[in-house]
Amino acid sequence: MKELLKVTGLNVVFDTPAGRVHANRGINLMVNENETLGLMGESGCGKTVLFLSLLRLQQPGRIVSGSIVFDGRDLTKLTTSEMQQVRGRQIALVPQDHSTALNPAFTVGQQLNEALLVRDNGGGLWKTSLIGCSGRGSQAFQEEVKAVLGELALGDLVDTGRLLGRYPHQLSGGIRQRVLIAMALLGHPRMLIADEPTTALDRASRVQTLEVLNRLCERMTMLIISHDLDAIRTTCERVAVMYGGRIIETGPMLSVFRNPRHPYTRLFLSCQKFSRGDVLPEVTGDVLNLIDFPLGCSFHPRCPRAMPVCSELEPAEVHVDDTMVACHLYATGETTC
Amino acid sequence: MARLRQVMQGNKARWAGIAMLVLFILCAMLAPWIAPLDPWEFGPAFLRPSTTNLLGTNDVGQDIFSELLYGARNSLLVGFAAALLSVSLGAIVGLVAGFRKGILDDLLMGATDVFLVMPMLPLAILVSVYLGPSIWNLTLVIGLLWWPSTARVIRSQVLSIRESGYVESARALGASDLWIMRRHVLPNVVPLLMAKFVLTVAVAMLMEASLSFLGLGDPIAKSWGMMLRYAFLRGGFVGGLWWWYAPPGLAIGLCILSLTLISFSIEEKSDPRLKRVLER
Repeated sequence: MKELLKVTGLNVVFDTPAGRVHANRGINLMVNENETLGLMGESGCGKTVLFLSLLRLQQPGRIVSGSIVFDGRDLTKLTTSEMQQVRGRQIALVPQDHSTALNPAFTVGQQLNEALLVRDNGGGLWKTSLIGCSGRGSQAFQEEVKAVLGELALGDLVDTGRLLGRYPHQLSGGIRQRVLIAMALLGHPRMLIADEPTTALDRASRVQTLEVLNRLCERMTMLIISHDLDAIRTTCERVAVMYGGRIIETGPMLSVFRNPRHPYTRLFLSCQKFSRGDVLPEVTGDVLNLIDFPLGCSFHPRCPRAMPVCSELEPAEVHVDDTMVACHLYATGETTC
Repeated sequence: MARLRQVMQGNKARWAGIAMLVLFILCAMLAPWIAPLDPWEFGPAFLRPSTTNLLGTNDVGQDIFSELLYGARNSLLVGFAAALLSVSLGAIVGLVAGFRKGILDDLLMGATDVFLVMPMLPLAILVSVYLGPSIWNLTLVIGLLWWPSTARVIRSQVLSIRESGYVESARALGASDLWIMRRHVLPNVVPLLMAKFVLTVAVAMLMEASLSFLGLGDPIAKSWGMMLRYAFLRGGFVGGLWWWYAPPGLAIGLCILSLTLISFSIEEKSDPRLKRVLER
């Protein structure tokens, strides 16, 4: 398997009036070609900053160190215009909030055309009209849009004319979400990043979106960010768990889900496995403050199995069987549970 | 065009405004054909309104009704040209400042603040005196001095648009800054620009009338401000010759009223939240 994306020692900070926020602290991450990686973690753990940094859209945050090697090129060293060529054409993003990610002033058809125009012109400015997204109404154009929409099971809506002429507010959330996926696919990206693709959806659209994603991950590299564990389970081959700006556990999906090693992963996963009548399980304590995070392992104040060393030393990444975990419980020479 | 029509649909005040403005524009355009007499031709002075001179004649015997029709041309022309200039300037400054933020924003907004705190009429008088009396100089002065408020309004709107989800997703598609500005930011401020444009026409017309009244307009050209000036200087007010000073004054007032009505209705249509505020 060929490595498509390799992130090494990525540090991203935000300078705020309250102090410096360390949103990503030494991220190491690898995605193989044609693999689907799921990225899990609670809100505020740095997931969003991580994938925005992959596209270099993390402003006002700054990448202070580390490298992001995509297909042999270090993205942190590219110029802005080179980066624009990568966005959409190499790495495409499906934004999380489908209710704001489409421009309310234009119809769906105009916005799909725009995705194509951006791809073909590279954002070239003066080839089209000054205002509006009228686009090229050419046959080839239409065909391409139709093909992609057909793949996303929206072909019927196109044929009956109930999609392309509509404004975003006239569509349901599930359809908007798939339109966003279509916009991302029109750039023929090598890798697709889906940011919480199922979070803002109702039950039925969620299933449809998952089916679509499932079909897509058979033919392309994907990075799915979610705290919807079912979504991760049904689509991903490998998963990575983030906490406090670090990746604390990565490994094959099945082995992480069946045998989570890091105490945080264990608690995180248990939150979804409860039956009726049980007390709702939770990870006690608050989400980590990334300005003054604790010394040592960032999880130790909330960890049920914290040891003295946890508050002193930051745990190194250790390989245990087929997974990587950053926890003192598995440090060499220590006894494990 | 369909969208424009949609924006224009609606209440009576709006239609009254549009009707009045269209009437004024028609008068201005058709002045050479509908004016009964040549407004530059001298004749018997100080005539009262009659069937030949609908609004009487002025101090040198020019027909006031014809003057009024020809005056509409220059007043409207200066109004629209100056508004076009100032709104374009304001839009560019606002778009760039809001979108780029940082030091460019600080510089542009600093300049805007300087223009905003300066009293406009004295400044306009000063500049017009330097440039000399002509219609185009008036247009230039008004256009170049009136952009700051537009720039402010547009900038604040752009600041909110640039953080929106669709701008973010356009960036993720690989769109450049210019592309985003043109395709996403500009279309979303067009209704605001339209409202601002119409309102600026009104302000520019008022400004033109003020400057002309003070004697800074072209003394030969016919405009409503100039008519008022001569009525004031040559005893129209003192002598109670209402048919001399009332028509141009009323024309200016009605024209500004109609423009304001249109501007409000565009603003209301583009931001329905305003409607509730206005009805309260």
